[in-house]
Amino acid sequence: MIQAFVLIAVALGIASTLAISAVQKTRQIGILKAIGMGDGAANRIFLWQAALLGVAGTLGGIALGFGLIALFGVVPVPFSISPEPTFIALSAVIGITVALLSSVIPARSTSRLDPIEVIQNG
Amino acid sequence: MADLLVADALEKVYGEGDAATRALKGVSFTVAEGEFASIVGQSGSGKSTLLNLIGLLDTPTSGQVLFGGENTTALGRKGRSRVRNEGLGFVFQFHYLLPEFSVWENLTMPAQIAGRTLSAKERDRALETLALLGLEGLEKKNANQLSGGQKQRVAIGRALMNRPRLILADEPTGNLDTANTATVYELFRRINAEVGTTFLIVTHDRAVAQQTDRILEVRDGELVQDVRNDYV
Repeated sequence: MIQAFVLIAVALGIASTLAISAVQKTRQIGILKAIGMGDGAANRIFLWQAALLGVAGTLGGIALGFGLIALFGVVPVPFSISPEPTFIALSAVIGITVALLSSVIPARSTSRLDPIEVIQNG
Repeated sequence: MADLLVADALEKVYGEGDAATRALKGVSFTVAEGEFASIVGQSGSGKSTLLNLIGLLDTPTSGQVLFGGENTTALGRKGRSRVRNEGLGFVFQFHYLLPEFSVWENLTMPAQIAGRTLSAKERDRALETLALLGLEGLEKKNANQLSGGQKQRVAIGRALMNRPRLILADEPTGNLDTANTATVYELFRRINAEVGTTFLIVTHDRAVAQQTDRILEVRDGELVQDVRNDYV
């Protein structure tokens, strides 16, 4: 149950980061389209960004997890944690997949952007 | 010279019904390869709408744009992107450089967009362009470290990088001081003479238009004058 909520929170976090990034980059993408960037290439910008966020976040999370386990080995705590490789791998796959899925909406809106919208609005 | 650009009965209507506004009312003209021309008109005359249609940034309500003999109005989004990348160069009033990137990266952006790694010939061309624009030594500088005039020169370089047949400039010196304005027009002239690039400059300023060889005047969405300029 807790894992499901963590997953939803992560998905919302990545989706909002990408949505903000899409808004911030509208102008740049509009001008890149004006000088000939295709819709597919514009789409891939956010897929790549999501993939990088997903991979970096997952690797960072795993590293942090192992770091905490190591810390709990030094500092006495009233519980023990034994990492399961299968669960770690599954979490990594879910994390990256969720990141990629979160990029679909900003990627689609960016690919449909007409350069004229940016040029006219300055 | 052969016609590079044919604007045929271009009409643009914004809105529908009672709210419809006819921004362009059937504008037709041709531009030959190598011309140095301007489109002049007051704010709201329809000159920028015309430039957007010619530059394939927008589609006409009716009429067609032929570029290099190809009917661009029949092209889809992908085809229009290709023509914009390979055949057209844009210089806007605002430079629209990508601030996170260096001068070199901004300059070579059109080649990167086309999905190419820079060939030795393109690298030489980029260096030539930097020299032509007086930007040697600034390749590694970040775009936002440049002055206004330098930024606009990089934007001109970016427009030139793919050696487009036509450069469309919309109020290209609107944000520049007198000295930089003169430099930009001198550059346009040199590029026109040395590279043979065709120029179409949109401006509200008659003094700027007087520096071109041909003046097309747009008023209330119509082409009211098309004269050769003898005063250059």
